[in-house]
Amino acid sequence: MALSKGGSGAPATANDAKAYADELGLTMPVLADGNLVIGGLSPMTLNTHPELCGLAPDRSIINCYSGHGAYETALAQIKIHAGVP
Amino acid sequence: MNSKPWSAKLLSVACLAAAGWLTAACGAEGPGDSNTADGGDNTGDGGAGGNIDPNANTDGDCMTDLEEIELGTDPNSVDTDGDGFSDCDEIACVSDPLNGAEKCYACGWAHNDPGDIVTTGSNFGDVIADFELIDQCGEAVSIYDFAGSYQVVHLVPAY
Repeated sequence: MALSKGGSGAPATANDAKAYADELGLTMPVLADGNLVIGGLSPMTLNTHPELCGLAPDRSIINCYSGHGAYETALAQIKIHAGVP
Repeated sequence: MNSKPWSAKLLSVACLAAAGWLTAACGAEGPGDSNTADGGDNTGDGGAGGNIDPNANTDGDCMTDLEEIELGTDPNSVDTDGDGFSDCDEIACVSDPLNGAEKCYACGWAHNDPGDIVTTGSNFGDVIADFELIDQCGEAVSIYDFAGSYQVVHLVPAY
C-alpha cells in the first residue's frame, strides 16, 4: 500500500502512513509516497485512484491496473504469472 | 527467499555446528577440510581448525567463535558492523550483520534485496528501479527489500 497524499490532501508523510495503517488495522507495509516517485518509475499515471501495479519477485512490473475491479484483476494476473491455478 | 551470501554461510555454520565441526556429514567445506590427507581425522590434529575451541563464545552472543568466523562476523564483538544492532538481532531480522548501513527495520520487514537486481526500465515487463518510501514506523524502506515475493503496489490518497 502506498499513499500518494495524506488525509489533509498534502503530500503523504510517515504520520499519514501510521494513521492509515492504524485505522485499517494493517500489518503490511503502508508507505508514504509524498514525492510521487512511483509515477516516474512505473506506468502509473497518477490521474486515477486507485492505481495498482503488480510486481514479480524479481521486481519486474507484471502489469498495472486502475478503476473498478483493478485489485481483482491484479491478483488474477499475479496468479497467472506465478502459475497458480 | 534470501540469497545473501552471509545467509548462505549461516546455513553452512548451522550444518557445521550440528555435525560437531570438521566432519563431512553436511558436505560443507570447513577450514579443516584440507587436512583430510592425514587419514580423515580432522579433529584436534593441529590443522587449520584444530586450535579453535568449537564451544568458545568470546563475546557471549548467540554464536560460537567458530560460527562467527565462518559467517565473517567478529567473535570479539556482539555488533560487528557497529550499527547499533547486534549480529544476532540482525540475523534474526534478516539484515546484514556485516553492513553498517543495513539495520533492522523497526516494523520488522526483512531485507530481501539480493543485491544483484538490474533495473531495466519503467514499463510492463521491465525491472523497476529501486526507490525508498516512508513506512508506518517512520523509516525509509527500499522496494527491493520486498524482492522474492509478489506485491501489489496500491497507490491511493489517504482521504
